[in-house]
Amino acid sequence: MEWLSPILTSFQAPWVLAGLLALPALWWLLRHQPPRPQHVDFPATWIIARIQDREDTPTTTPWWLLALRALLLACVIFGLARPLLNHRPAAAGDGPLLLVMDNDWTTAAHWQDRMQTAQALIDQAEQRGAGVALLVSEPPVGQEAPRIDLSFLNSEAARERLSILEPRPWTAQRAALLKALQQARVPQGADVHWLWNGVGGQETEEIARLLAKGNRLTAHGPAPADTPYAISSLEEHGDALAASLSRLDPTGEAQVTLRFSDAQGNGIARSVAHFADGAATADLQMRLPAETMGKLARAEIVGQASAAASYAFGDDWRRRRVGLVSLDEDTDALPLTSPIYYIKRALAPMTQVETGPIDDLTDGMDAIIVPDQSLTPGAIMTLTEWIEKGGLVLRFAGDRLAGRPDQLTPTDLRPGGREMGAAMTWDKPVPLGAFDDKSPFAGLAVPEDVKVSRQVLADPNSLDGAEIWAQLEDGTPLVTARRMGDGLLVMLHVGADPKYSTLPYSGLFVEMLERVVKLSGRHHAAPADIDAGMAARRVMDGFGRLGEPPAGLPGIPAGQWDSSVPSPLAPPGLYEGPQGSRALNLAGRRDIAGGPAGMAWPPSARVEAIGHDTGVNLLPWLIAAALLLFALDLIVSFMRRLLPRRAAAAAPLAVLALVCLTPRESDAQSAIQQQPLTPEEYAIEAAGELHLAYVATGDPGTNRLTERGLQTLSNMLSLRTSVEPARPMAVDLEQDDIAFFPVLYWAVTPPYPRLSAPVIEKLQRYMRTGGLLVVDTGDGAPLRLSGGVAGPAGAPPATLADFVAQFATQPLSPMARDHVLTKSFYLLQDFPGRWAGQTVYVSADSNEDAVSPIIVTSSGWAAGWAMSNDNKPLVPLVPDGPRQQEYAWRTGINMVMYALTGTYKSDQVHLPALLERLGQ
Amino acid sequence: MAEPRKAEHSTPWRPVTRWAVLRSRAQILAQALSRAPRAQERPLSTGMFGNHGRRRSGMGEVFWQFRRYQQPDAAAMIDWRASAKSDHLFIRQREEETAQTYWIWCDQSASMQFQSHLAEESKADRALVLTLATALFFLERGERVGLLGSGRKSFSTRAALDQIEDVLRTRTDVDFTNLPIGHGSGRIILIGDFHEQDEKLVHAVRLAQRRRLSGFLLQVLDPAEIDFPYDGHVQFTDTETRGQEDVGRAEALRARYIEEMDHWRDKLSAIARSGGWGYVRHSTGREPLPPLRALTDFVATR
Repeated sequence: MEWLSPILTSFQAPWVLAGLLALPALWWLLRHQPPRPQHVDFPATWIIARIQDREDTPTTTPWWLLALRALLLACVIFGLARPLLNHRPAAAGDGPLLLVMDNDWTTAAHWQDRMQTAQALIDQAEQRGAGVALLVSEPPVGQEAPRIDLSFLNSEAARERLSILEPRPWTAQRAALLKALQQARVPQGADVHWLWNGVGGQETEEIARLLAKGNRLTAHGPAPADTPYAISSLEEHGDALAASLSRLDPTGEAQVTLRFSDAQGNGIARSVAHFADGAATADLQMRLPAETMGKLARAEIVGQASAAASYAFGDDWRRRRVGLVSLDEDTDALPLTSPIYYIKRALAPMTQVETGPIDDLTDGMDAIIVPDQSLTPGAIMTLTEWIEKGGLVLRFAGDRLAGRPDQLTPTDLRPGGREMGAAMTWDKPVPLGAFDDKSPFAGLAVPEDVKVSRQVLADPNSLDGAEIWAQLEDGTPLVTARRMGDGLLVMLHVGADPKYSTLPYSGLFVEMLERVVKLSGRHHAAPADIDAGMAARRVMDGFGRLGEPPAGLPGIPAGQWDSSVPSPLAPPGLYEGPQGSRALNLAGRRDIAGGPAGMAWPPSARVEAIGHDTGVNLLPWLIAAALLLFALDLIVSFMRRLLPRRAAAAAPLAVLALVCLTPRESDAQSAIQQQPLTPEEYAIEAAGELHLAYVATGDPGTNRLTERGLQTLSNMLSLRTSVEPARPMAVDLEQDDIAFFPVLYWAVTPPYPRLSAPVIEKLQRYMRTGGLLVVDTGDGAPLRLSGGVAGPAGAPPATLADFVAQFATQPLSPMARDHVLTKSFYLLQDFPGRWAGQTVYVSADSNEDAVSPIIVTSSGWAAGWAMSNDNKPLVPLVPDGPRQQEYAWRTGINMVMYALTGTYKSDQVHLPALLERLGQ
Repeated sequence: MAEPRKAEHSTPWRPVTRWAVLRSRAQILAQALSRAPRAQERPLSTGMFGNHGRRRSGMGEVFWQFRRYQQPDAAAMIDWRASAKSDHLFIRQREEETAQTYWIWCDQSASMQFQSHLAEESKADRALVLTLATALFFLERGERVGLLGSGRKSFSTRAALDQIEDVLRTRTDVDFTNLPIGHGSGRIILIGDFHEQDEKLVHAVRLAQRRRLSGFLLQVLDPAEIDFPYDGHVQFTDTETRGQEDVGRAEALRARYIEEMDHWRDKLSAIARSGGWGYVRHSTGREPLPPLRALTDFVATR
């Protein structure tokens, strides 16, 4: 198709163009097949019959209809010939082909493009009958250096070698390649095509010089848009995950999604990072509850199947390592009276517990727990030193400590201890007091059945400098703590066994231990005693998939774990050692992709971009044009039947204009959506039907989720109750009137907004006049609502308590167990949303008889309700899934019913009495 | 669009709504007819309508004569006041009064179902509205109305409308040459398109003349039948005979068609005049009030 080259088009199936010869035949055929006449039923036909002279003029297809149909056919024929616009086949040389394939991790994301380019090059070599030599930059897993075989093969053998090639999960081993290449004999006079990974450097330049010597070198580098992305760090900060993503080529803006999943591959969370133009890195941060954090098995950048974009989490990530100092006596005999038993049971779900003597535990543990024990001076010295370096020690009191107090306690202890409720004492067992807001235990509910009967008392004179985290109802300290250096010493003034209290039986014990252990810093220093080294259990391939390790992988020798970098001998993956599994990741290394080092090519080399020279495929466009013409033809033919002739001639033009002028549907729709409602329209819409409303926040993601959640809840209400809400409405507190809505759902996220005076007034009027305001922080964290101050205007409220204090007119308190909300439609004990088990706050007097105008929760109700269009939860629910979502809906239904009926249901408590009076 | 919309007579429920609509439209039309100012500023003499004295004794309101009491007369008929003036018994007789009867014929045949894209309703519907409006107009003035050719009697009440509906809903073959047997004066009003009915019309006019009945021809045509707005290759099918005419270039035929149509109109007008009848051609593309007024004006002055 040389004659078409001026318009830079080539055909992949040029023989189909022979079909163009059929066009004249079509012309002839259509000209002699007249179109069907118009049919008319006409009463005055007798007049026509009288005046009709029998000259039937032969009618023909009009020329423009013919042209239309010929054009249609031409489009189909050209389309089938598969034309490519702007297609420039790579300049073909005349020597044999030396194909250099980079296959480090950077090549994985666009591996297919690379393979296609390589195939095309081999095809060209085959056409000119040249041999092909293949040089692969990275060795297979388990082989230290690349084996270089530069002999020229026929194209068939080369294709075979190419087909088994895979990207490798490590950074390019340029030094090894250079060394191997220097030892090999590089052929001369060859066409060298290097499918380059885009990363420069001194050694790479050396390799390029070596390849260019005596050869024609063409480098195919990645296009800027195809630059690979990597996770360059992933760390835990408290209850948040901080990740940093990076890319090789910093040009252009980009938006990438980081997805976290559990061991089964189910998504747990996702977050989006934005790369600014010119920025090689982007950071993102995400809050996850500890329970979810423990489930993480993998993080990956969506759409980037490469080892550097896939992060595997080992056991070391999941659990804190807690050392439990072993008692010298045999505790297996009577497990239920042993303090060790309760501590182990409480810690097992969250942490990795190891038991041993103190000296063994100071290495590699995050926290050390000392059950009732009087420590030797040596042990005290070891522990003190360890604490001051940042460790956390939790001690339990008990008979032994009470008998012989030592110095390593937050406060001095009174010898002997205190006993209540025993045969010879006056006192009864004492329940726990509420936790102070400053205590780490703040927000934990105190069960009434936890009672302390014996205690080792802190000396009140020594409380200076110590913190009291928990106390009994009578004010006696129960948990005390003291900061020492960088670390923390915590003391529980009861034993971990039931002799002292019922605390070890309760769930509170587990929660308290969890909170304490969470306070410990992370000590990732590897234990020095890994003698056996680490053996590979699962190995990541170049695309970031975990698989079985190949036989004969040496593993990572003892003591080298921290310095090991993914390499052919130690590919990334999960490694198993005596201390459990740990993950070796290519992702999460700072040096992984710090922007491209400059690359100086030899002057003779040519550089091209991979995957962007295939040209524009015109086939879909031509077929679309043909379909459009066909539709046009149909419309025109149809209209010709109905319309007088002259109008029909204008029809194709009209249709064409219509097609061109009709705005695309999506545009039209978005135009409709963007049209703001006038206040009147808004009021009419809001008042016309029952709407669930939500406060539009600044975050579109939150708004979408909330709207989706309320939509799902509306559907559920319509399905299950006689409440049939219309679509949820977003409310702008500054502008919109909120009086129309029975429920106003507010998903607030920090930073909490400072509300203006009119808004506060509006909210207070809303709550006073019967509206129900639902404030949901959605983060699953325990609520702290006491002590909030409305604060000055200007500065944003620091805490949720301050935020709520801006507009709350009544004191809030945790919801009572028999609150109307528990029975307004379903009978409920728990009010889960996205998170389960959170306390719900209502106005204090609603626990008596009043209707609460406000509900504060952190359960993420809307997120828990939200379902996608294919009936799947939009966000994963923690911990339960489908069952929890069902209960979330029930919670929502109760909430709406409460808003609509108030305390109506509490009348039911009198029902038995009423029935009795009726004589039933 | 150009295809006539077939009015559906067969479905059991459809005519009810159709007839209700037609009757209400007729009602409005009849009111407009009585209310609107007349074209020639000539007030319609109300005396022209209603009961007309027969100049003989009979049933009526107006006194006619006293007559000597005779044997078969009922005693209750004796006018005692008049009898007291003399020795004889008199009975009071009133003048016989009868109403004028208007016999209306409405064509509902297949050709009347035609409706082109230029008209908003079929000829049949328009003809029915005109028929009902005419009937209402005369009934309101105390006249009797009957459906010509149906073989039924006339009414002076709204029952006439029910009868018209009753008959026309089922029958499309009512023959206007079937003149009523009866006494007294009357008027004949024919509403239809009169396609290929020239001979029958001549016959009817002659029959009526013999019976001293005058009448009126109201021809209802579709605008398409008058203007012939067709182009290109068209195949025409006769709505009555189903005979077909294939026209290669319809636009070439238009001038001759219109000429022929005018010719036909003149012919119908001549037929009407021969019996002292009136004739008006009405297009369904226009307002129905003017032809109706022409009709009432005409029959009122005869």
